Amino acid sequence: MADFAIRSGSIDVEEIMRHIRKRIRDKRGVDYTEQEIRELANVKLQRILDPTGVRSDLLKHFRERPKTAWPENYSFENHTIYASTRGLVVFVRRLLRPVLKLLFSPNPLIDTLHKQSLINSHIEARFGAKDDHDALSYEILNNLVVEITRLSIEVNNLKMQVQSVNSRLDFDERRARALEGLVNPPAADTPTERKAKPDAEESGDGTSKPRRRRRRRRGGRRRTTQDGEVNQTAEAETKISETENQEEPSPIAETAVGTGSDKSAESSTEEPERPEAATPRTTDDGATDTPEK
Amino acid sequence: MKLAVVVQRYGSDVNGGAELHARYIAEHLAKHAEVEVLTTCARDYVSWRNEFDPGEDRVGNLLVRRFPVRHPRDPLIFGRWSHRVFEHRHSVAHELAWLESEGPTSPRLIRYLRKNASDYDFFLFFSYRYAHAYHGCRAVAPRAVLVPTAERDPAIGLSIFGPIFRGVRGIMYNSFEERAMIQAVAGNSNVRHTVVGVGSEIPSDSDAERFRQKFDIQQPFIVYIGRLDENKGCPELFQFFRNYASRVSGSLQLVLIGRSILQIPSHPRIRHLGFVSDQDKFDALAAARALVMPSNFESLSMVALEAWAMGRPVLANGSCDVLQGQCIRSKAGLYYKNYEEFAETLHALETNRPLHAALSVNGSEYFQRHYSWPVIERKYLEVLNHLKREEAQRMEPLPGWFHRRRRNIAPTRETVDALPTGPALKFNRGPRSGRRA
Repeated sequence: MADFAIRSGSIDVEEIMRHIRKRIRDKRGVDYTEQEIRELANVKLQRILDPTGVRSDLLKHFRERPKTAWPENYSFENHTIYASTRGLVVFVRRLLRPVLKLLFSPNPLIDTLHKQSLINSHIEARFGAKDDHDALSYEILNNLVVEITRLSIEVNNLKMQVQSVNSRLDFDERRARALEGLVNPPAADTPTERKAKPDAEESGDGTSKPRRRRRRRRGGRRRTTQDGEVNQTAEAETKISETENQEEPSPIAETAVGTGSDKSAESSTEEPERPEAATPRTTDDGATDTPEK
Repeated sequence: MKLAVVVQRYGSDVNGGAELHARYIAEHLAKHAEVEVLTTCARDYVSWRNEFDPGEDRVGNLLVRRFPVRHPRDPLIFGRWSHRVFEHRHSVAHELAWLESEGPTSPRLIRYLRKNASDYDFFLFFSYRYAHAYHGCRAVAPRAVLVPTAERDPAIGLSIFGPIFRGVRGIMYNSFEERAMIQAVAGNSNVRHTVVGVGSEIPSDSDAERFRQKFDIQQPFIVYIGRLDENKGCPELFQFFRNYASRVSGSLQLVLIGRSILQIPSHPRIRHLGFVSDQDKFDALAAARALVMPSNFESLSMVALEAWAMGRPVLANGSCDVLQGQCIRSKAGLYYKNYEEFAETLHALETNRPLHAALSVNGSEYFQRHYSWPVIERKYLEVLNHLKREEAQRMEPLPGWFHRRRRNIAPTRETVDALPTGPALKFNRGPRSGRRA
């Protein structure tokens, strides 16, 4: 947030909020709101979640599962089979009850139906509890799907960030090479290189020779001789040390270096310099990669 | 000019938003006119129990006439009616039953209004959604001026309020967003109105150091002032701040001032001070880095205005159109709609000193320009003087017995969802006040 340019009176809250939202978008890659994430979880499940093996229409199926419709339970008591809304009928039935009991015994029937009624109530209660659990399961499943969606998006964003970091790293390496080229111009293009080659051939030494030469050059020649190549290197180093003292470059200057040729890198006075680029780098075997005389 | 302020509750210890608003307006208009307050005997806005004695009373320099409430509110019945009218197709009779269940129902107050209407030039009714305002506006329509204090909740979509918004003589809106919402729902742009709001008594001797010493708070902090309630967005604020505290190093604290009706999370950087005096409140504002307003529904946040008056920026919930609009118009506050925005805006207010300073200066200027008492008083008097010169029109009558029972009204939640949203930012282009056609 330190990059707001604030002048009292000229402040524009909407502009600041746009800036803040842009920063948030830049940070997380894509600007998904909570609502959008939920929509993605509901609508684009197939595309997002198939790799993880979650069925895209799982939630839909779960939601549309038909609910159990229960017929209303009955209560069955001793008097139920004799009951009537008409008092006269009840009276007659009561009178004839002994006759009925002569023909068959209604009590086992009443007992059985009464027990069945209790069993029905019990089962209904059990299934009711199961429905509650189902609702809970649905909630958990829904949250899982939303979370998985969110994580998928985050993974995508992280992948993009890794790619971005990779490309920056490549760019930095290219720039380092460009700077090295600035310090040591290509051998074929300079007359000094042409001069140096026969010397090297004449000496016919092995790989240890350049190391000795480097020591010699650093120790004495630079100070004493007026050789053209040394002057050129010193000039380049001076140029680099000058630019080191300058401020941090803008991203635009960096881009110019990255996309331009070595020549353009030379011409850019805003060129950011790394400390390691200012001194001649050594190769892995300890020899300088600077062309030697 | 003789005015009556008609409000659901009134007293020096009654601190609800609309009630405090009514008290401030009554006290300030008393400098320019003869003012009486007509109210109920209720002190509690949930139950409407009669706690004050009926009859005449004096609060400060004002005469207050109190009338008993016929029955307290039954939350179960009110909840059932609310569900009915907000979520289902319903009739005008259902809406009237909802209003009756909400209260405060005081037939004696309405009878007094009818009987003594001619003794007053105007009646200022506060809070459109309560029974006293609905029946009162109908009883004295030619002299009724409404201060709706409307929020974007389903009640605004009830069809019974349309004739009230169209039939009163004038409307004093709290904000441009409130005006846009009511005009969209009631089509009453021809009713004389103004966007006025309310001022506040800002003490000149507020002292940040006094607050820090009294409550032993040495770290920088943001402050929330108001009822700690789910409806005010407090749980979301707690969650956001805890996330922020766990991810952003620093010592910024959240100080909460007000009565709590929910559990405050135990966190080393969250301090709850409970209800404090006005002096402590203003001292807290003077000491705070910013005021945070997490509420989704506000018609006008008085505490936000007080923060601006004290030169403190406001961090508001952007889901509330009114707060967002005020932040943009005042150029004195930032707003958020999710955690990321909360974290970024809060971090900006915490660390960016030029931004903080600019917002503070703008807030102070905004308050002086729009909400200082001379400005508020002038706006009220201008509207009332205009109304004195204009002819009153008749309010639409209630529909007949059969029509009232026809279930042809859509759920009000659908009506409210269809209303335009967002801050009303083009307020400069429109006329400052409407005129009855």
